[in-house]
Amino acid sequence: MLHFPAYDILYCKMSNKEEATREDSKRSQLYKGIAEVVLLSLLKDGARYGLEILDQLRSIARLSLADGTIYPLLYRLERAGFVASEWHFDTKGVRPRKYYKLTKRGSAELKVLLVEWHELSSNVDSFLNRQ
Amino acid sequence: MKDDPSFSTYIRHLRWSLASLPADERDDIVAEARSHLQEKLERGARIEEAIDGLGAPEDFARAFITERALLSALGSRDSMGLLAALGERSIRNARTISATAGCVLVWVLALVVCAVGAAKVFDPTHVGMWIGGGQFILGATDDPSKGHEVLGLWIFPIAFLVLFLAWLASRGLSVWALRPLASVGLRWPRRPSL
Repeated sequence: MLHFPAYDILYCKMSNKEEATREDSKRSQLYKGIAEVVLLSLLKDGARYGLEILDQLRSIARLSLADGTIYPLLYRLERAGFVASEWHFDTKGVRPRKYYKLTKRGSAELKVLLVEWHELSSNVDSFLNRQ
Repeated sequence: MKDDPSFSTYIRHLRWSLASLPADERDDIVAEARSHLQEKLERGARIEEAIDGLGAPEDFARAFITERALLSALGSRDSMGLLAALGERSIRNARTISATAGCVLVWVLALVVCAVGAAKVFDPTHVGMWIGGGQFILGATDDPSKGHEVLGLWIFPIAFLVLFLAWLASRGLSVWALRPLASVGLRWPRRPSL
């Protein structure tokens, strides 16, 4: 494991709470990037609404995203043309929900991203498991 | 539930915070947040938990506004919008740092040339670009006889040309740096250098 003395000095007086916040923030940044690919992949299986997407990213992909991160992400993907949205009422006909589906452009983008993801994860694995 | 004061206050603050967005987008975001909160409450979450999940209305709104500013600047190719968007993200990554440094450099150069051009209108004898006698001067000199003034009245069209090139270069650099941020964020290098 890499060890940086200066890093220890900087953070030695950090409280447990501060440290947990910092770890959460680092994890959150990492997750944001990964969430986009996982989200596009999820929408490949069919249209879904925000909370449903969050549930599945958490339960299937095991990504612990805050509720508030998913909607700006969907907004960005929609404006980039990778997803399209439509409002529909839920099964009880009570509440309107905004459903997102993958567009052709999003589907093409997903293919490119998956190739890049597999290539990168393979390279990172090789690096981390080096002798 | 939705009559809870915290609920209505959150929705009202969110709408205010989204004021800079077009009305249809603002309505859409607010309606989606309302639907989200209602469903969370129906699942048994407390109103505070549901609201905490989305974050403070100002922060939640800012995420949309920032995304829109970036995409709008890239879509319209508005130079000032592009530079402003680059400025806000100047230290995001190596590409934005390089582009910001490049923009600053070309604009400083352009402004210096323009300032010399403007000064030459008032003092054509002592202002210009001198080369010779082991020195290079771009600006004003007390003794114009030390070197050879090479630009003369060409300083004016050159100032316009440099200004145009700076505008062109800063637009190009901004688009180059911002476009990867606007598309899907998970952009791996084509050939990872690990």
